[in-house]
Amino acid sequence: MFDFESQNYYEILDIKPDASPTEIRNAYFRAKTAYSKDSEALYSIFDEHETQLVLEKVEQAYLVLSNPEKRKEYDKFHGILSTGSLQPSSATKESGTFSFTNKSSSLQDDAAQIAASNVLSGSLFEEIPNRTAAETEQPRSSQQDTSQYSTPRTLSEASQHTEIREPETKRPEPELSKSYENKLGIVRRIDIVNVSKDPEIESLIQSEVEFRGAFLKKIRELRGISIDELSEFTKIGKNYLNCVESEEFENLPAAVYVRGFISQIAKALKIPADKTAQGYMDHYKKTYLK
Amino acid sequence: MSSLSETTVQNQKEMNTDVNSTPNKSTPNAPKKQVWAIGGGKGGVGKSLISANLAITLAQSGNKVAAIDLDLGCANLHTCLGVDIPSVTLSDFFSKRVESIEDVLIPTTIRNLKMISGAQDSIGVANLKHTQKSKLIESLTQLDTDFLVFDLGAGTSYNTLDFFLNADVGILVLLPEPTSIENTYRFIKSAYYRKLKLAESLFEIRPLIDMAMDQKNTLGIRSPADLVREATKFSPEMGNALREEISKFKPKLIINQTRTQSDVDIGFSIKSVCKKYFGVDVEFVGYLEYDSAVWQSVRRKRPLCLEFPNSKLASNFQRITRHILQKNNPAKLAVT
Repeated sequence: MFDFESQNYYEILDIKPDASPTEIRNAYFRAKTAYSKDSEALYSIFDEHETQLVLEKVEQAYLVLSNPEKRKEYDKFHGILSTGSLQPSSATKESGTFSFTNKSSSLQDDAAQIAASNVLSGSLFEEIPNRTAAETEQPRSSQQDTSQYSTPRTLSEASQHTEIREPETKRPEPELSKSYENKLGIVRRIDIVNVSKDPEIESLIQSEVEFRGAFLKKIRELRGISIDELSEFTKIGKNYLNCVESEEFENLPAAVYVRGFISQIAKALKIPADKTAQGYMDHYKKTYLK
Repeated sequence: MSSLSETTVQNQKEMNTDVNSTPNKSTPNAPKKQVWAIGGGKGGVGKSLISANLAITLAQSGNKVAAIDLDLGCANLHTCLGVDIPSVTLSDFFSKRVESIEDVLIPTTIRNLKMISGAQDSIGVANLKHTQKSKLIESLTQLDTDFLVFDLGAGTSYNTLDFFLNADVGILVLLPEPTSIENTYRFIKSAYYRKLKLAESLFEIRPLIDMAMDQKNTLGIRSPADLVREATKFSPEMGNALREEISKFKPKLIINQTRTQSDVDIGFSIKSVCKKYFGVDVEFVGYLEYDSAVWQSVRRKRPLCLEFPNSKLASNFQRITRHILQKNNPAKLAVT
C-alpha cells in the first residue's frame, strides 16, 4: 500500500488536519464502507489481509481524532498545525455535497443526527417506519394496571423466566448482499431482528430503567445476534461494541459518539433508542465524566 | 522504405509520444481554452451521453464549446447531441478533403455549441497514425472556443490514454457494478504507468517503470508502492521525482446510473482505495441517477438536457459542471 506506514491519522481517513468533528465522523463511516467485507470498490485491488490492515488503522485514527483532547495531543506530537477547534472548516462544502443528512455543526445537533439517522443507508428513499414504537405500544396497553417502574420485582421475575426458557426469536432471514439488491433496484433496510413477539423479552425491555452495558448484551444475546452481526449491520467496530457492553469507557471515543452508538445499537436490537441512550449516558456521565 | 520498417518507426513514435504535444501546452499563442476529456475503461457506460450533456451545460452557461468525438470507429456523439448524420467528419479532415479543422465543425441546436463528428469513417480510422494525431491536436488548439470536450473511446489504447492524460480535466465514467469498477482501475493503472513512462524527469528509472508494468517482473514489483520503494532505492531523488509525477495525475470520477445511496458511496470508496493503492488523488465530481429519461431521449435522438430540462439528471449535470469548474477553473465560473 502506498506510503501506508507513514500515513498519519488524517491521511488514513482522507481528511484535512482542520477537519470538523462532523467531517471526521463522516470520513470514518466512509472508510468503514470502503473497506468493509463486501465493498465493491476493493474488487481487483486489495485482498482481505490488506483490507484488515487498513480497517485497523482506521479504527485507531478515529479513536484518537474523535476525542478533542487526544486529537490535540496527537496534533502536537506530529507537528500538525491546525486550529483543532470544533468549528466546521471551509472544507465542509466538499464533504457536505453528497451527504443527505448532515447540515448542522453544533455537537448537540451532531449527537441528535447520529441518533436520528443512519448515515449510510437509504437516504434516497423513504425509510421503512421504525417499528419499535408500534411494538412497544402493545405490551404497554396490556400492562396498564401494573406500574411500569415496579422494577425490582418485575425485573427479577422476568430474568428468572428467561433464564429457564429458550429465546423464541427466529434467526433472521439470510440477507441478500447489498450489491445484489442494488442491481435489482431493490432498496430495503433489512433488519437483523425479526419482529420479536416474545412477551418475555418485551416486558424485560419495558421494565428496564438503567440500560447499562450488561442489559444491552443480554438483549443482544436473547435476540440471537452475535457481535459480528451487530457490527456488520451498524458498521460500528467490534471492539467498540464489546467496550460498550463491558462499559470500558476509556476505550471508547468521545461521549457524543458513544451516545450515537447506543442509539444505533438500540435501533438494531429493537429497543427504544432514546430511553436506552439516556439511561446509558446517565451512567456514563456519573462514573466517567467528572 | 518497406512497410515493415515504416510500421516499426511509427510504433516507436507512438510509444514515445511527447507528452507535451497537446492542446494548451504546445501552442502558447492559441486562444486560451480548457480541455475536458471523458473516458472510461468500459464501453456502454455513458461516455458519449455524458460528454454531450456536459458540453451542453457548459454552452448554456454562455461559454463557447466544441465537442469532439474521438471515439473513432464507434462514434456516437452526434446522436447524443441531436445532430443528424453529419456531412463532414474527421475523416474528411484526415484525408484532406477539407482545408482546415473549422470546415468540419458542425453547428448544433444549442447556441455556442459546435461539434466535430467521428462518424461515416473510412475503415481503419480507429488506428490513428502519430502524424495525424499531432496534426489534429495542433488544429484543435487553434479553435476559437472556451472549452473543448473530448468524447474518448472505451479501452486503453495509447491514443486514448494520451488524450486523457493531457486534458486539463480528465473524467472517468463508470457504472456501480464490479465489471465497470474493475475496468476503471485498469484504466487508472494504464494511464498511471503511461504517464510515468513518458515523464522526462523519470528518464533514469524508465527501465524500472517498464518492469512495473509487467506483473510478473523479476524484481517483485507488484504494486505502485513497490515501484516507489525500488525507485527510492535507486536514488532518493528519483523516489521524490516519482512521487511528484504521481501527484500530478488527478482524474475525476462520475458514477452513472446510480439507484441507491450505496451506489453513490462507491465513488468515495474508489477515491479512498486509489489514494491508498496508487497514491493518486481521484476527485469524485458527481453521480447521475438512473433515469428512464435517458433511453427515451436517445431513442428520439434528442439531447437529454434539452428534452428533459427540468429533470433530476439535468440538475445533476449542472451540479457536476459547477463542481468541476469550482476546483479547476475559478476564473470561468460562468455557470447558471
